[in-house]
Amino acid sequence: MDSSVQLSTEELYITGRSGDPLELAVLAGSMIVLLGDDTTIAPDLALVLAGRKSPASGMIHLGDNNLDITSHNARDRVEYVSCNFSCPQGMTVSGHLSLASAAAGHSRKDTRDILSQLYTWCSLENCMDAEVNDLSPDDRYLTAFAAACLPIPDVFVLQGPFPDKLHPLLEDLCQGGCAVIASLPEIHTIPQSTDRIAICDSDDVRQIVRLQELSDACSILMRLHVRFFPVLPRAVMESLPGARDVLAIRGGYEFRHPGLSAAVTNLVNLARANSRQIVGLEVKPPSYSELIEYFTPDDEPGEADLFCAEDLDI
Amino acid sequence: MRRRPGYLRICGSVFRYMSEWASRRQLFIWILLAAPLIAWILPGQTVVPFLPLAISCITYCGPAAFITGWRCSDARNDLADILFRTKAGKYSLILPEILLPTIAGVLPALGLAALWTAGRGGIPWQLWVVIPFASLTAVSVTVLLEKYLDQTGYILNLLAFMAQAGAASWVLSPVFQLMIPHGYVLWTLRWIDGSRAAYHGDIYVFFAVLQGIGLILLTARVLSDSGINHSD
Repeated sequence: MDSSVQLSTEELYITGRSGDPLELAVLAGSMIVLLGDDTTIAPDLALVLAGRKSPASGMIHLGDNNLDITSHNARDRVEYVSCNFSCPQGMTVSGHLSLASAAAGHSRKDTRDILSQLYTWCSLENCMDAEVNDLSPDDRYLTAFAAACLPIPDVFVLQGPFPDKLHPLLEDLCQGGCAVIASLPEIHTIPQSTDRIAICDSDDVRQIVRLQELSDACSILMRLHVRFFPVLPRAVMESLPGARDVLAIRGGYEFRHPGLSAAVTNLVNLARANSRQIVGLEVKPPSYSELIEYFTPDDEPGEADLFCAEDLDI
Repeated sequence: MRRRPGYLRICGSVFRYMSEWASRRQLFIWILLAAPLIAWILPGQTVVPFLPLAISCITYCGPAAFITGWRCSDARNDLADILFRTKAGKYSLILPEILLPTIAGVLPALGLAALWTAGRGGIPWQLWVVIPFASLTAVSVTVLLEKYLDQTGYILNLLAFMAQAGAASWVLSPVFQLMIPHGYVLWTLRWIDGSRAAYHGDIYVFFAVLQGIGLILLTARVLSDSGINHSD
C-alpha cells in the first residue's frame, strides 16, 4: 500500500488558546479519529483540516508536494462531509448525485455507470428517487458521503456521528489509498479500522493514541454497577479479586476492575459462593473528562529531581 | 486525467431548483403581477400607453420575482454547499442564478416590445441592448439593496419601481431619468415613440450598459461571499 503523507500540519494552532502547535501527518490508507464533542476543538479541527476554516496560525499541506490546502489546486482533493447536510427542497438522491457528478467533471455517459456502482456500494438503491430531505439521517449522511466520493479525493474529512453502515466503506477507502479523518463525539462510534485517535479538549489535542491504548484506558477507567439479592456485605465485596474503589450504591456496589470478562467471572463466582443472585449488572464507560485526565501527562512542577540535570540548573 | 465540469448540466439544475424555490413562494406571483397592475392602476397610464409601461415593469418584475430573498434562502445555501468547493467552483452557481432572473425579465419584455413595435418597423437596436441590461440591473439592485439595507432595501426598490411606473412629473426631469435605472427601458420606449424623453435613446443605452456591468460585478462579489462556510 502507498504510505505517502496525504495531509500534514506545520506549526498549526487551532485556536489562540492552544498551548503547543499541532504536528500531525495523515498517511495514505490510514484513518484518524478526532475524538471530542462540540465543547472540544474536534469539530473545528476537522473544518480546519478540510480547509473550510482558517486556523489561528500555521499551515496545512496536502500530499508530498506541500500544496496549501486552501489553494485552488487543492480543491476536489479534500472532501468534507457534514452531519448537518441538507439539499434544496425537491432534490432527489439521484438529482443530487448527478449534480455533484457534473461538478466533479464526469461526463453524462460516465455518470450513469459511476452512479449505479455508487448506489450499490453505499446501499442507496432503494432511495434513488426519494427526496434527500425526507431520508432518514443515516441515509442522508450516506448520500452526502456518496457525493463526496465523486471527485475521487485523496482525503476525506467526516463530521460525525455517522451510521455504522459507513464503517466498511471507510475501510474500503483506506485500502484504496485514501486518508480518512473523522471527528466523532463518542468512543463507541469509533470504527474498528481506526489507526489513531486524537483526544481533543477545549483548546488542544491532548494526546494521539492507538485504538488498543484507548481500549485499555477504557477498561481501566470503566465502572461496574452490580446488585445482589440478598445484599452482599461490603467486606465480601471488597474481597473480589481486582476490584478497586468499591462504593456502596442502592442494593449493590460500584467498583472499578481492569478486565471486564475477569470481573464478570469473579462476580458470578462470588455470588455463587455466598448464595446470592446477581439481579443487575451494568458497565459504565468512563466519562470524557476522565479519559482526558487519564491521558494528560503529569507535568506538574514538583520538587527538584536530584538526578535531573535540568532541575539542578547544571 | 483532466476532467471538465459539466457547466450546462449544473446550470440546468440551478435553474430548476431556483424556479421551484421561487414558484413555491406566494410572493412570487404578486411580484410578477405587480408589473401589469402598476402599469394599469397608476396615473401614469394616462400619460404613457399601457404596453410600454408594462414592458418596462416586466423588465424589472421578472428578475425581482426570482431573486428577491434568494441569496439568504436555505435552497441557495444548500446549493452553495454542494457547488462552491467543487472543481466547478462558485461561479457555476452565481452565473445561472443571475442568468435565470435576467432571462425571466428579458424574454417577456422583448416579446411585448416586438408586439408594440410591430407597426413601427421592428424593434430598434437600442431596445435589444437596454432591455437585457435593465434586467441585469434589476437583479443587481435587488440583491445589493437586500444585502445592505435588508427590509428597507425592498421598500426603496419598490418605491423606485413605482416612481418610474407612475411616470410622476419629477421623474421627467433629466437628472432623475438617469438616476433611476428602473426607468431606462421606459425612457427608451418613450424616445422611440417621440414623447417626452429627456435624452436621445443612445444615452439610455450607454448608461444602462455602464450600470449593468458595474452593478453586476458588485453583485457577483456579494453572491460569492454568501453561503454556509464559504466566506473564503
